[in-house]
Amino acid sequence: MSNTQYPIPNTVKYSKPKIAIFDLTDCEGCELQILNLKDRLLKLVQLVDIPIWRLAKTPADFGPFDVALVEGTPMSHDDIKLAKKVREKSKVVVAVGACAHLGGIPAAVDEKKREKFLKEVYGDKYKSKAVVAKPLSAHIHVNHFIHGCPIDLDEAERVIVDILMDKNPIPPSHPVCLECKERENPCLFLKGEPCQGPITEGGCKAVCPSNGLRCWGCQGPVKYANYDAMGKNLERLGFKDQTKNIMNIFNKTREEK
Amino acid sequence: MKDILDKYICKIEGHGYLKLDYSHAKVQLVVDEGERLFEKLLVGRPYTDAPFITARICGVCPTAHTLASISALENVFQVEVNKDIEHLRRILLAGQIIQSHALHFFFLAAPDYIGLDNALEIADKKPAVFKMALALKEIGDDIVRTIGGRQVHPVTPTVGGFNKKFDRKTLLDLKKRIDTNMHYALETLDLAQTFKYPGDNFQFSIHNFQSNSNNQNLENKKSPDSGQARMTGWRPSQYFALTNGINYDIIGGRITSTERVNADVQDYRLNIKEKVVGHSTAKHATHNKESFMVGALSRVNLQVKFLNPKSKTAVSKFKKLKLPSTNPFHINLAQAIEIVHFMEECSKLLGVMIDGRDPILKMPYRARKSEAAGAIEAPRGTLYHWYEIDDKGIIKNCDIITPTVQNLANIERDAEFILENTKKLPEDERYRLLEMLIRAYDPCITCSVH
Repeated sequence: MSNTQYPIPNTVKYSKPKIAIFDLTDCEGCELQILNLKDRLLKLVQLVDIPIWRLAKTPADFGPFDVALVEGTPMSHDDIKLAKKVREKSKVVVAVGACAHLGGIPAAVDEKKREKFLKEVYGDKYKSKAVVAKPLSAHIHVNHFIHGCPIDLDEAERVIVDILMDKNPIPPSHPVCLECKERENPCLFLKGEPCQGPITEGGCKAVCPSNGLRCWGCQGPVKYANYDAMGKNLERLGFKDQTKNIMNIFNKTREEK
Repeated sequence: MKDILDKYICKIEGHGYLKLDYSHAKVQLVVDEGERLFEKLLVGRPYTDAPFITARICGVCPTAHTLASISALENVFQVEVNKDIEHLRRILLAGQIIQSHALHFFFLAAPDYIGLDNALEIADKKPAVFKMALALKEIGDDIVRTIGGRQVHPVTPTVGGFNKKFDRKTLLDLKKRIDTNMHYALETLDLAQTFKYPGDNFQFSIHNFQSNSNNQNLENKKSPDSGQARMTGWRPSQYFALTNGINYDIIGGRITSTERVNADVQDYRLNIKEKVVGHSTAKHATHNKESFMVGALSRVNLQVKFLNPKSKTAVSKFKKLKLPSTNPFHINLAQAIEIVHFMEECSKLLGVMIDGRDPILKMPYRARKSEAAGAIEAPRGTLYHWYEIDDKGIIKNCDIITPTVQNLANIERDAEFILENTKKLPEDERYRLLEMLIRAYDPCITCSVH
């Protein structure tokens, strides 16, 4: 992938599409992954303009945009307001990373206890900024997703280029297990670890199990994911008290659906 | 959209903006990040979740969080790791520091000194500098990817050691790549020396910010009445870092400072006190009610004698830098020094690993009911994690103090000091100096609100 050549439009009339990058509440790891594309990013910026990217530059113009890459969980009123503005001004909105896609780790907090937790951490008088943690799609219509925590470099590049070429980026639709077997890793689930590979969408090259760490489900549910069966199997493995914690760590808002 | 986005300081990690009172020289750095409540969402989960989840506090220094969390948990269970595991962790953490420093130095801070807006402009107008930036970011990523499994959010480190084995060839290849890229680190140090740091020679002005013609004018004006602000010396701070008195410490030392604090990590709460402040979703930490500094400059100030040979030689040649330095803009210089030091460190430790016998990278241990703290040097300073674990291995309580929380109060004091000493400068230039100061400090705002 690193030697990819993009067809460079040679017509005089070619106007560079505008890709704006926004970050809501999160760790900014996915933005960093975009930066980690390095020379691939340099090739991309020959084809596009990036008017807004707070982490990297002073904002140049405030829209309209052809593509908006939105990272992070909308948690505060400002986040939600910004997300809505981004939707108004952008043709295509892409949710980047597990936080925007699923709600991610910030959404793993028990919302019923948010007030109590805030008091415990910040004291009684504190006025909080965050209100509720939900995926981006709970607030605005999202056209495409780049999965994972953090996003995979190749998937990020593929989705962005697909959109630029007016293609419909198609998610992998196979479980992590397929990519794990491809790499001939010993099965962690069979070893008794609560690996989430069977219900999780691939595309990450099974990076965790390939390094001896179980899958935590950051890519989100694969098509036909069978959460009931996973839950029962986790109970069999001895994780009775933790089944929800394990299955929902990146995707707690699933419970509400 | 403009109304939401315009206030934020760009080119820093996370959302923050300045509330200023120019005439009274009062500064508030408003940290404007939503509370993610990491300390609370860990409660009720098994301890094995902590290194994985806490990495997500920060995308720039996830490896630091993972390792701090592991360090705390190993103190809870009283796990003693062997030399090989310790070496690999030091390499991994050094890789993290190189990654983060390279990102911050070139992509966020350097544009201020070079007089461009952003890294893409550097790529366009100063391709040689950009080549250095990419090479060093890549070598940092490479180290973390090779040892940690992925450049952002590592997957191999675990309580008791590593999930993965590393063969000799992998380590040898990594060492070769570090050695062949060493010259980029030294060139970066040369570049850092050419920067004009505000506050050097006791003068505040933005030398490189303007276009070349303006720059000339500023250079020619030498008299104190020329609009440049003069001052008598930098505001001194107290500098904190972990040290062990044997080498340039990043894991496992004691809490020390330039004012002779010397405390065990388990006593961190006696020395570093967090308090909630009204204008920020991040707390502020103080020592004896005074602000203090942690991070690259603190480490260099406290441990310059333990720097590796190449970085030490380079530092001794510096005319500008008198250590201990009290100029916060020298944080950027210290980052360049540390990039060289840690590349040497990685190469040295990899050499030891390659020559040694086949390592055992997983120590047996038993989880038990207890509580303990752990601390490591993250790129931006000392990072504390503390956990209370019950007899079933479930987290009962958790406390995390990040480097930026410790720096925030000091940033505001330094910013106020600049305002006090720049009353003759126009407001927009004073504002730009402050923005530059904030960037020099390299605050990680996402970390500070966790």
